[in-house]
This record gives sequence, structure tokens and C-alpha cells, in this order.
Amino acid sequence: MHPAPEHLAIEVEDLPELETEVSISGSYQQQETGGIICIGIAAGLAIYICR
Amino acid sequence: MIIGTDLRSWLDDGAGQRRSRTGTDAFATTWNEGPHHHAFAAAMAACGGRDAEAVAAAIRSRFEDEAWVRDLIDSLAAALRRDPHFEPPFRHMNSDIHRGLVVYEDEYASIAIGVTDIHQLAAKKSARSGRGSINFSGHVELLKFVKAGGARLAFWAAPPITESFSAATAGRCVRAGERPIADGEILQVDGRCESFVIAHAAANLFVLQATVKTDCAPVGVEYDKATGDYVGCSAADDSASRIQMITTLLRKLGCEAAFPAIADFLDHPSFFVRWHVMRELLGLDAGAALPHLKRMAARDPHPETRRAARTALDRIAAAPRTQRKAA
Repeated sequence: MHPAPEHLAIEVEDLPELETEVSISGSYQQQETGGIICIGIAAGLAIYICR
Repeated sequence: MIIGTDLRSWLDDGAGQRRSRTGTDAFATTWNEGPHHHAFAAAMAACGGRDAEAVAAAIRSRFEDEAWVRDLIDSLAAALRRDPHFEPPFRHMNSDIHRGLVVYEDEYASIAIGVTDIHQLAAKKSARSGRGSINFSGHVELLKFVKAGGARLAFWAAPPITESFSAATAGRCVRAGERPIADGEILQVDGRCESFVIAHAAANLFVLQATVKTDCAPVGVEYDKATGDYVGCSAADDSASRIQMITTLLRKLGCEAAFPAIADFLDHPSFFVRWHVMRELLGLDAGAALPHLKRMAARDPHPETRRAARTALDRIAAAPRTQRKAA
């Protein structure tokens, strides 16, 4: 029987990975992703810091 | 960095930079509201993105008419004559042998014009001495070789990349012939099972390249050119990578309010996105995520995702009870 999940500390790093490792999207799309994600991270951090 | 007098003057001239920016914005408006852009949008709307073949057929009809290419290049050349600091308002699509501009994009396809540089191609081939990779993009692509540069293309084939793709069943890629390409030829390549490399060229290639987004495979796959063996894979669609990065960010910020929005991606068509999202949900709120994990272990269509979910359930079952970690 599974223990009550609300009493579990789950670290994402301890969870299993898929056997097929999939890298981040490549080609020119990767450049675009990086740019937008950087803005997203900056916005996220700004909100976090302002809390 | 050594810069010329003209560029130095422009860098010191705020008004001149604003004029260049205004010229770029005006060019973008003219292009986006012009007849050629509208013709692409109308062709896409007419096909409705029904499937990859329908989108490719719509693009083919636009590729058969080169008037829009001539008009666009003439307009770009005129803008550069007026202002050498004019920046074309298009996203760049560059690789080590190819430089291109994405001139049209919607939810069904992106279309670029570009030049493959014969000298860089020769240098790359020389440096690799026949080694290298064959990439299968996962997308249907349509190419028009406006100037084929006397090129010969070598074609490759691999097992179809489907939603149940896995490294264990990726198989091998094999040669599928070689032939010359003529000026003006339109070539459709199904990047889910077909690829090509330029085996030989005598001059630069001027190419229109359409990438169809509809019906794309979950991943693009790379094989070793010499052995045909599987090398690795990457997300074929950049939105999959965005979802992965943003859900990780939300979990690291402890943003539990985002749980329902993240859980919506458990139905994503890409198996690796579904598992990534599941991991982040477990890290965010294990109690709320457990029913989703049980469902995934029982019913996810991809065997690796089901297997990972079952392993996670077993680990949770075996884990000692502890106080819940602070968010």
C-alpha cells in the first residue's frame, strides 16, 4: 500500500528518467527558445524577488 | 573589433539609428500587409492545416510562382541601398553552411529563403573526411532550389519516427540513392523517415525552404553517417522544450497554483513532455500528482513512460514516511 503522499518528500532528481534521452529542440528554433525562455526566467525571478 | 568610419558615425548618431529602425519597421509593415504575405496566409487558410500533405501542397502552389521571391529580394536590395545599416525584419536561420531569413510563419508552417555557401560546404566536408551525422528533422519539408548550384543530393532513409519512438527501436539509417538537382526543382522530403545531404555542388545554392509543423514527429533523430547507427534525438518542436523549461521553472519557484495548468500537459502528444511534466508535478505537490501518476502507469500510450511511472510508484511505495519538504 502506498504511504499517504502528503507525507512524502519527493525530490525530482530521484525520480526515474526515460530510457530514451531527448535533447532540447535544435536548429534555429533553439535560438528562439533560448531568447524567450531567458525573458521568461527573468520575469519569473522578478516576480519571485518582489514577493 | 575594428569598425569602419561609416559604422562609427552611425553608432554615434542616435537619430540615424532611429531612422534605420523606422526603415526596418516600415519594411515589416509593407511585407506583412503586402500581397505576397497575404497569398501565403490565404493558401494556408484554404488548406486549414488538415494534414502535412495538404500544407505541403498549399506551399508548393506558392513555390511554383517565383515573382514573390524576386519582389522580396528587390525590396531588400533597395532598402539596403537607401540605408546600409538597414536590418531585414526577419528571424535568421543560420547554420555553419547556410544563411537564411524566415519570411513567413504561422501555426502550420514556416518559410525561409537562404543561401548555402559552397566554400563553407567544402570546408565542412574536408574537415569531416566523410564522417558526420545524418539528421532526420521529424518534419515534412518542401525545398525549392531556385539556383541548385549544380548540386547532387545523396538521400537517406530510416524507420518512420512515430509517437511511440524510442532509442531501442530507432533502427539504422541507410543510403537511398543520389541524383543531380535542377534549377527550379521542388523537392518534398518527409523528415520523419527521409533525409538528404549535399554530396557535391559547383556553386552556391539559393533555396526556399518550408518546414511543415502539422503532423510533425515528436523528435528529430540523428544517425551516424559511417555506420548508420542511432546517435541521439532532440525535440522536433520547440514548444515541447519551452513547456519542459517553464514547468521546471515553476516547480523550482514552488508555484503550486500552477499545478492545474501544468497538469493539462499530461495529455501532450510527445511522450517525453508527458513524463517531464509528471516529474515536475510530483516535485510540486506529490499528493495531488499521485492519481495522475497511477493513471500514467496504467494507461500512457508510450511503453517507456508507463515503465517510468511504474518505477516511480514503486519507489514511492518503498520510501519512508517523512515530513513534507518545505516549498
